[in-house]
Parts: sequence; structure tokens; C-alpha cells
Amino acid sequence: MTRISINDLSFAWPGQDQTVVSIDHFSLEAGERLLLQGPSGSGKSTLLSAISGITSLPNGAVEVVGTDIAKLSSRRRDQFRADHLGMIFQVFNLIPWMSARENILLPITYSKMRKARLQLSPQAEADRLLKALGLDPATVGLQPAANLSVGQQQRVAAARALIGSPEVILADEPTSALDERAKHRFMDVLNQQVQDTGASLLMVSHDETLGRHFDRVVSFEKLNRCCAVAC
Amino acid sequence: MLSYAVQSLWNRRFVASLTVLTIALSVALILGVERLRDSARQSFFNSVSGIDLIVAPRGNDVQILMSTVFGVGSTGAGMNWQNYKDLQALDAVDWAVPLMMGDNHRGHPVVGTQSAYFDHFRYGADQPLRFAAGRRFDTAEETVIGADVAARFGYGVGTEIVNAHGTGAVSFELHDDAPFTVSGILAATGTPVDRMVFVTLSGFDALHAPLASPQTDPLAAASGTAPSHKNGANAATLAWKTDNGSGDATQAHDTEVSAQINGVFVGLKSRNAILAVQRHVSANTSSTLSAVMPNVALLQLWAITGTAEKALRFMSLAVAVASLIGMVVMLSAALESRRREFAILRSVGATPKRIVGLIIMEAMLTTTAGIIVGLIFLICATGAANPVLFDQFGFRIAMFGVSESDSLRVLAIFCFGCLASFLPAWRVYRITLADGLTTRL
Repeated sequence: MTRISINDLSFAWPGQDQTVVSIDHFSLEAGERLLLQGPSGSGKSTLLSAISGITSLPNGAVEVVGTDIAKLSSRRRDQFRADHLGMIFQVFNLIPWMSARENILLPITYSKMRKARLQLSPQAEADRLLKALGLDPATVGLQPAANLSVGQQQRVAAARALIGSPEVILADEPTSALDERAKHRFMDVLNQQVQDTGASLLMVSHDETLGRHFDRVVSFEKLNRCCAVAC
Repeated sequence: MLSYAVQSLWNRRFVASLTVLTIALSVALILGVERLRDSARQSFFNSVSGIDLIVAPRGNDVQILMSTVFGVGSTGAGMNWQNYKDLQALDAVDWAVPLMMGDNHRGHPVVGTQSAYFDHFRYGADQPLRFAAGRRFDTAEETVIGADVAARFGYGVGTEIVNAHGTGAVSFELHDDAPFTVSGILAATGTPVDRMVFVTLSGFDALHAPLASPQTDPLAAASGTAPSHKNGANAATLAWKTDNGSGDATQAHDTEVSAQINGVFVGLKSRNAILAVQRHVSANTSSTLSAVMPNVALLQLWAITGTAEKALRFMSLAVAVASLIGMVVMLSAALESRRREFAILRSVGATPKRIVGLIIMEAMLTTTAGIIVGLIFLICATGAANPVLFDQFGFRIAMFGVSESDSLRVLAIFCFGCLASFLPAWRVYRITLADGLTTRL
């Protein structure tokens, strides 16, 4: 089953003439872990925005979990994102004054669908994810996010993306702030959980050393016909 | 959402509490000024009742009211005993009480009058004067003092006091040759009476006896010549005593005075006659007199003091506006640093509208907290101020209970608080739409 499929997508930011992303065809299958590799500024983050339904798109260009994103109202897109997508950013993923556990529970408050998918109580599920990602729920879980190290923060962000088993995890350079060792350990625990929940993982990164963690690596420069212009 | 807003504010508790504090201050100020005004107004209009007209030498209504009722300043000259007799003789007049003023006791006005004053003077809802201790004055050497005077200087019945010439608190000219003995202390009324010292007309005149020699005082000279006073005052002032034909000695020195008087409180048999008597006084007497309706003069006086009140109201309004601007500043200033927070919220599914709602909710919480703290401030402040207010001005402010106009004002502050939050909320809306999930930090 195809989780994401892109056909003839040509995208420019509103008010700008220059097309930044132009893709003929791209797809992400269920359970697939795919790394989209390319230099900074090549439009990778823009593509993630398009998939996550932040921007308005031409009809029929992007389908996520079988739904044409462009046909949804902006309110429905926000709900769709909460229900089906888990997101991890480069840095500053967490609301600093909330505890790690409260941060993890945020998507549950916005998505009934993800809440319904929980096997355990929300609290217990958050603690389970923390443990699975190598963090101690009793100490780290209760700390305000601002007190955590960057590595810990990224794991908490991963737990937040994973809670309630969304179909697709989008990750935008989540390892760029981590050192070499932490990077690979982060990828290991993330992959383990992605496999457990059966989610598809789409990660964009300029880091060429991450390839071994993925089923498939796609060069964004080859995928995006606009790249020559955009870079 | 509510708990998120509470937590978010708690996270910025220092700035938020300052904002709450300014809103609280403005709430306390606005409500406090209104309550002070209402209480002052009530006490003000309570200060005199039961007096239909005040007759005094021609002058400004407010000035006459100030001097005769509030004991501030003095009336003009030109009213004598005959004027009083004429007034009393009018058919419509039920009673008339003469007043003499111009002296003070340690800053408190000294009023020369008759003991009928204590029968006829009314305050508040037609309440008569009561004695807390002692009795009325019987002789020219006795005095009745108001509750404040007694409390402030620790006077009791039997204390001997000395008055001074003039109305200033500091006087070099003490009438220490003519001391008075306190014969009675009035119960507190919450009116200017509490601050007054009452003596008999002859007692008042006795103060000025050394000044009013037979040569310089034509009235005294005309009325007679029999110097005799046990306190050694010049006897010219007591001359009328021998002229008195009414017999009773107590009443004699109480009712007849040769010198000029400053005003007369007049009670009429029927209030319908007020205008007729007023016209009669201003038209038909040989001297130039005014007859003032106390309530009309009170309104005029209130109109004057109303300017200060308006200024005070304006000030409290300005504080309210400043505090709401402060809240907008607090919310707006945080927006830049919270862009990331909004992006995270959007990534987990919050719509821009929900984020806008969050900002408005934070404003509502801040305003509500400000209003609650403000009401607590107000209760504490009135609790602390009431003893002082009562001592100095004779009224108290209601502490609890929110009147209808109060709740309207609170509601207005709340609404303006929410309205003010639309500005940062609108900016948040723009920011969340523009940033999406990618924040440019």
C-alpha cells in the first residue's frame, strides 16, 4: 500500500514566481524507510511542508494515505496532519516549559484517532515510548524539556511523533544537531520503533552517512527537476 | 487548552504577574474612586438636613454654606441682632438659631450659638444631635464640643479650654483670658459638627470683649453700659444682659447679643414658604442679606468639588488603559520568542484558530486574575482607609458587595481586556500562517 504518492508536483511559495519543487513521480510504501538525500537549500523542507499540508497545492499532486491533500480545507488539513503524520524537526522540537511526557502527549490532545489507537493509557504509552527510546520515564519524563540535552530532546520528539501510531513519520534533519555516536544510536532506536508501529519513515537529510539505516535512499537532486535553479 | 494557557502563563509568571498587578491596580482604582465618590457624596449631602434656609450677610451661596455648615471661612459682615429678631418675627418662621463664627480652637471652628441649635440641627436622615457625655452649655463659660475635638485632644467633661482669634490653626492671639469649661460632648455624627466647638453667644462675644471697646463698637455702645464680668472681660459685651426683659437668666445670656452675627439657621412651619421667605429676606430687609437653601448650595458646592472627582476618574481610566496596553505588550513581546512554540503546536495538529484562541485565553486569564486581585486590593485598601476616612471626614466606604455599576465597570474592563488581546492574536494568526512548520529563527 502506498502511503505517499506524488505525481507532477510543481510548487512555488505563494507570492514567488520561482518554482522550488518540481517532481514527476515519487512514492513511499507502507513500512518503508526512505532517506531523501540532498544538500541544504535544495527544497527538501519545502517538500515536507507540502506533504504535511501546510501549503496549498494543485489538485491531485500529493496523496497521503490515499487522501488528496489539496482537496481538504485548511482546517481539515490540520486535522489530517494530527491524525496521520508524526513530525520530527531539526532542533527545538519541544515546548520548553512542558515536561518531556507532556510534550509526548501533545498529539493525543489534538487527534482522537491517534488517542483511540493507544493500547495503554496515554501516560503509560508515553512512558513505554520513553523507555523504548532509551530514556528513563521517572527522571527524564518529568523534567521540563528545556533541561534536557539535545540528544534527549530528539528522542522525546521521536516519541511524540510515534505516539498513537501515525501512518507516516516525517523527519527533517533530526540528527543534524547530534554528534556521530548519538546520531547512529538515535537512528537505531527510531528505526526500531518505526518498525514496531508499522509506520513509514520519510527523512530528509544532507548527511550521507545515514544511508545504512534506510531501505531506500533517493537523491533529491535527481528527484527534483528544479534543483539546478533552486540551488 | 485552558490548562495549556495556564501553564504557558505560569512559564512567564514574572511578567504575567506584573501585568496582573497593573490590571489589579486599575480595577482597584476605578472601583475605589467610584466608591469614595459615592460615600463622600452621601456623607456630604448628609451633613445638614432639617434646615430650610440659612440667612447670612449677602454673599455667595457656597461661601455661606461653607462657613455656616462646614465651619470653613466666614461670612461677610452686616447682619445684626435686629435682623435676627425680624426673621424670628416672620409668620412662616418656626424657629431661628443665630450663629457667630470666626474663632478657632486649635484649628477647629468655634461657633457661638444658642442651645436651641442642639434641638434643631439635623443631619443624615433627619437625625438629631445626641450627647455622648455631659449636657448643653448653661453659662457663657461653658462649651459643648464635637466628637472629633474630644477624641483628638482627649478632652472630657470639665476640661478647661482656651480659644484663639481667627480661623487659622496657628494663632498668636489666644483668648487665654477667657477659658471655657467643657460641659458636654456630642456623639459622633460623621458631619462637620464633629469638628466644631460650640459656645454661647455671650461666651463667643466675651472672647472679643477686649477688642470691642465701647468707643470702637457702636453697636455695643448703643446697647448699654454696665461692665461686669467675673472673668475680667470687658463688660461692654455683657451690656445687653441688663436690657433683657425676658426674665430667665440662662436664657438671657443665651439669646441676646449686641454684636453682629454671621448667620441664622431658619426652620419654617411649612416648606412651601421657602421661596416666599427667601424673597422676603433678599428684598424686604433693610440690610443686605441672603437666604440660602442648603440643598441648592450643596449641589453647587458638589459641582465645584466634582471637578476633582472628574480628574480622579479620568486618572483611574488612564491607569486602566495603561494596564491593558501593558497586557498587550506582554502578549506581543512574547510572540517572537514563541514562534517556535506555535510551529510545534501546528505540527501536532493545532489549527491557527486554536492558537489564536490560546492567546485570547491567556489575555482573559490575565484580565480575570487582575480583576480578582484588584477586588482583593480594594477590600484591603478600604479596610485600611476606613478608620482614617471616618476620623478625618466622617464617612466610611462600603467594603464588600459589588453594586450594579461596579459589576458593569468590571465587565467593561474584562471586555476591553479581551478586545485588546485581538491585536496580538491577529499577529499570531499571521505568524502561524506564514511560518507553518518551518520557523525562520
